[in-house]
Formats: sequence, structure tokens, C-alpha cells
Amino acid sequence: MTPATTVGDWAGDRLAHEAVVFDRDDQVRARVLPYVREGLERGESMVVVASDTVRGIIADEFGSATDEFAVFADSIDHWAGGWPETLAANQEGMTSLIEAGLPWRRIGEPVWMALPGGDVWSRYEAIANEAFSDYPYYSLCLHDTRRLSPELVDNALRTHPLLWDGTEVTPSPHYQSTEAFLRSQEPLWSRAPDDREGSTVTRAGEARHLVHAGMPPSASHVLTGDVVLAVHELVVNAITAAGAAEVTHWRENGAVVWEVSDDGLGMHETAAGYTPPRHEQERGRGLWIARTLADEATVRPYGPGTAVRLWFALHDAPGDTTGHPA
Amino acid sequence: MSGVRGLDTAVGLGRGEHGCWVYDGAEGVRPLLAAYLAEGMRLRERLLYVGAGPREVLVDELTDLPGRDALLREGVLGVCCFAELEVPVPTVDGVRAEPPAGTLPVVGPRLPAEAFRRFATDAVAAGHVGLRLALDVTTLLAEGAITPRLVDAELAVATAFSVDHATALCLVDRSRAGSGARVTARLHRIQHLEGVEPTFALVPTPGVVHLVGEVDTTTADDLGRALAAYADATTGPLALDLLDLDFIDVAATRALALFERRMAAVGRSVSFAGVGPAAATTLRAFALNGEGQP
Repeated sequence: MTPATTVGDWAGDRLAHEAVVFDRDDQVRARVLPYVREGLERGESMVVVASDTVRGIIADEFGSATDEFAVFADSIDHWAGGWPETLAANQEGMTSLIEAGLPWRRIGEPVWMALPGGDVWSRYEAIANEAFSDYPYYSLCLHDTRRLSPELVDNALRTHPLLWDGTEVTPSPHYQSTEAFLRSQEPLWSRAPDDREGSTVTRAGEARHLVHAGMPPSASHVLTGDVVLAVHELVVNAITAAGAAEVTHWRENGAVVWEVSDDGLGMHETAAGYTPPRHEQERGRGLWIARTLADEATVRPYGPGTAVRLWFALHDAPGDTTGHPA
Repeated sequence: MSGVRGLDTAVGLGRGEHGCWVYDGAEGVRPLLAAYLAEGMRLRERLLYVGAGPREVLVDELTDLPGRDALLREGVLGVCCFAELEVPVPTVDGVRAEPPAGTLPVVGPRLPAEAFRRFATDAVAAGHVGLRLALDVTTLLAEGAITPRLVDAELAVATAFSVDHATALCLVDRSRAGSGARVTARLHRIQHLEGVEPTFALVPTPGVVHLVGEVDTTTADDLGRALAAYADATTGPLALDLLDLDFIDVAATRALALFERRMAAVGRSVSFAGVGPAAATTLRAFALNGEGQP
């Protein structure tokens, strides 16, 4: 009979992603300490990015052994001010562990989800299940209901395939596919207005001129530069896939919306471009950059091809009543 | 876009300007030289035509210039072969000396960076308002590739401009240089190349190379070739100034990243200065570190 472990049937060869929801420190202690102890006994690297409270619990138990952890850092310091930077740093931080070729254990407590703009992190919890599926680590994600809103806790239950039920690891009954979760979080893909402006372009330079001409005068130089680059990268992808791109734009709830579509056989998964390309990959940065520059971005099939819609919030624009896209 | 512009005719270049004109076939160069140098004559500039030679061929190419022979006699017009300006690579006991970082040749013969400066100062000393230089650089390309000799010539022109009395037009024959003619044009802020939009330039100056204008997926290959040529012509660390860069996309930044990697493989560093918002996003995506706005 196989002895019970703290990580279910995880064999250390791919990602396991578990949510722990708690509201008392003794619950954390009960889950985290055996998990760490077992990892150390197995010689697995340990990555801890958590609140003072959780790190204190671990430090009280393991003392100077935490000095040997691959990472033992404060969550709030880990937040780089925005999701793209934090995600890129996370990915970069895994490089040496991947290169070592051995399994590792992670404890993450994304307290930054409670910060302004931090709620979008739920989407990356969903994305991780696919993007990092072949990485050999166990990710234990702690969610303190005293810190996080019910909505964020609900998101955690929907984005983690595994759940700690207080005594053992079980499949989460709330887990949703990455695509279903993302669609529930992204702006609705409403019908584009009939009076939208735009045209078909066959050269990326044309699209840049189109953006310069189509941005409202109130838009800052920096915002226009961001839109130019984001639309340009989508157009380059579209031209590569189909030889031409249809570029349209309109205003919506205080934002400018730019849509780039093509009828080529390209990548149109909802999750496309949510994570930066891996270090060794030469290509795949265009859509990632477009997502990092936009306030919102969605990808949908468009006939046999792809349509990507980007929202950029206009601040203090005349006639607009809200500052953020729907 | 700022910093890069097209050139429709061979006249109208101001003092301190340095352009490139790509022509097609030997017959194309005569009217071009005549128009460009005749304008200099009217402006009371001293005229200098430099090419592969021999000298009688260069003189013959100036046939369409009104009063050519008189101008030659009076010293208003000079012709010069590259061989007269170039110097052999310095050697110590027959072995090529290791050149100081960033300036001197790797293989020779090489054109010294100061080659044209003396002509410019002499022209002013002789009562001319400045020096007007025409250089046919076609033979400085080898099988369509830019050679260190060509980069030397560009650096020598850039050095002449430090006295602020020079106007220069580099000429390159597309029928002989192939795609190298287009890359050569990209080494200039002012470009004439039929059918090719002047979108970006990689301008070599002593110690630093300036990336100017808009560079994207359609021109990333030219950027890579121009960078490689500059690297081959120099040694030591390479500084790339992006202050006048208006736009760069992922594909062009990938060319920078590949270049940086190749340089690192031979122990040379690449630094980026003048990084503004236009470049910061894509540079970050490739972990290329800029020093920001100076």
C-alpha cells in the first residue's frame, strides 16, 4: 500500500495546482508544515512567497533551514506593480529550477490580489494550468478569506484543479476549464457598432498610420504609442497568417477599442498571449506585448481565423463618464 | 517620422548633411555627379570625388560637369582613389597589431577616420565656404555585403563633419551591389533608393551608432545586416543610441537581441542609451537593458 503523502498522487513530473482556503492560522499550520517537511525530506527545492504571518509560521518550525530555500520572500515585495511584470518575474524566477531538472514545491500567497488591479491575477492562476503544465512543481496557493473578497476566493476555487478539504487533497468540484473561466472574467464580446471606422491593411506601416489618425486628440502621446505598438503587433501576426488584416476601432464606455481580425489559420485560443514566451522561444511576443499594453484584451475565432479586441482606457476624455472599460 | 528623410534630387543637401544615393548602372552616375557637384561650385565649395579609380576613370565619370577640366586645373575639383587614402593595418614585426577598442581595423587596408577632415579644413583655409564630397562606395561592398572598408568610409565622413563645413553624398550602384545597396542606404539619415521608403537609419559615428526613425518586421533583416557590418569593422564594446528612434517592433527588437547574443559570444558587450517609451516595452520583452533617457 502506498503511504499517504501531503501531495496526493503527485509524482513530481508535472504541475499540480492546489487551492487552500483558510481563515485561521492553525489551518495554515496544519496544511503547510507537513507539506514543507515532506519536501525537505525528499530533497525538493522550496519556494515560498507568502505573507509575514505564513512565513512566520514556517520560520518558527524550520528555523535556519529556511535560509536554504530557493526563495523565501514576502508576497507584497513580489508584486511588481502590475500583472505583466509580476508574471514575467515569476517565470524568470523558475528558470534556474527548471534548468536543475528536479521537482520543487511552491507555497504562494498572492496577497496582491486585494490591491488595485490585482484581481486580474485570478486569470493567471487559470492560465498556469496550461502554460506551466509540464513544469515539475507542486503549487500550493493560500487564500486567506480575512484578506480576500468572496469573489476572489470563489475565483480561486474555480481556477485550481485541486483543493485542500481540511484533511486531504481532492479534485476541486468548482474547477472550470481555462477558457470558461477567462470568458467569465473578460469583457463581453459584444457586436461591434455599425459606425465603427477602419480598413483592410496589407502592410504593418499602414496600420500604424491608421492608429495615429484614429486616436482621439485627448489621448496622451504615451497612450497613442502603446496603441500603435499593440495594434502593429496584431497586424503583423494577421498579415503573416492571412496576408491582410482588418483593423477597426470605436469608443466604448470611456475606452477606445481596436480590433484586428484576419481569416488565416492562426492561433485563436482564448488564453493565447496571456503569458510571456518561455526564455528559449524566439517568437510569440507580439500578442503578449499587446495584452500587457492594453487594459483588456480578448481573443476569439473569426471564421477560420482570429479576431483580437483591445481596450484602452481614456482618462479625462470629453464626453466619457467612466475611466475603465466594461 | 523624425531623423530620416528621402532625397528626390541630388541637389539641396545642406552643409553638415550626409546622404546616400543608390543609382542603377554606370550611366546613372554621370548626371548625378554633375548635378550634385555643380551645385557645390555655385555655392563656392571645394569639390572632391572619391571612388575606386583608377583616376582617369573617375575623371571620365565627371564628363557632364560643366567646366570640369578648368576646375581640376584650378584646384577647385579634386579626384582621389580610395587606395590613395587608405593605410595598411599597423603591424609589429610583421604581425598585425591588436587595435585599440572601438576604433581601429580588424583587417585592412583601412581608411583612417580622419581621412576627409583635412580636406574640409584645407578647403576653408583656401577661401572656399566648405567641402562637397562625393564618394562612390560600390566597390567597398563584397558580394553584396558591407565590408569594414565601407564602414570606415562612413566613419571618415562622420569625422569630417566635426569641422561643420562638409557636405557628403555616398553613391552606390544597385546593379553591382544588389541588396547591399539598400543596406548601405540605411547607414544614412538621408536616402534615395527607388521603390524603398526611407524609414530607418543605422548611422555609424566614432564610438557610437545611432538607430533612427521607424524599424519594424519589414526592415529587421536590414537592421541585422547593418549592425553586423558595424561590428565587423570595430572592436570592443558597442554603444547603440536610440534617442531618435520613433518606433521599433518585436521583430526588429529580436534582431537587436540576436545581435547582442552574437556579440556576447565573442566577448563584446552592447549597451543601449537614449531609450524612450518607443523602445522600452520591446527591449524589456527581450531583457535588453537600456540606460533610459539621457
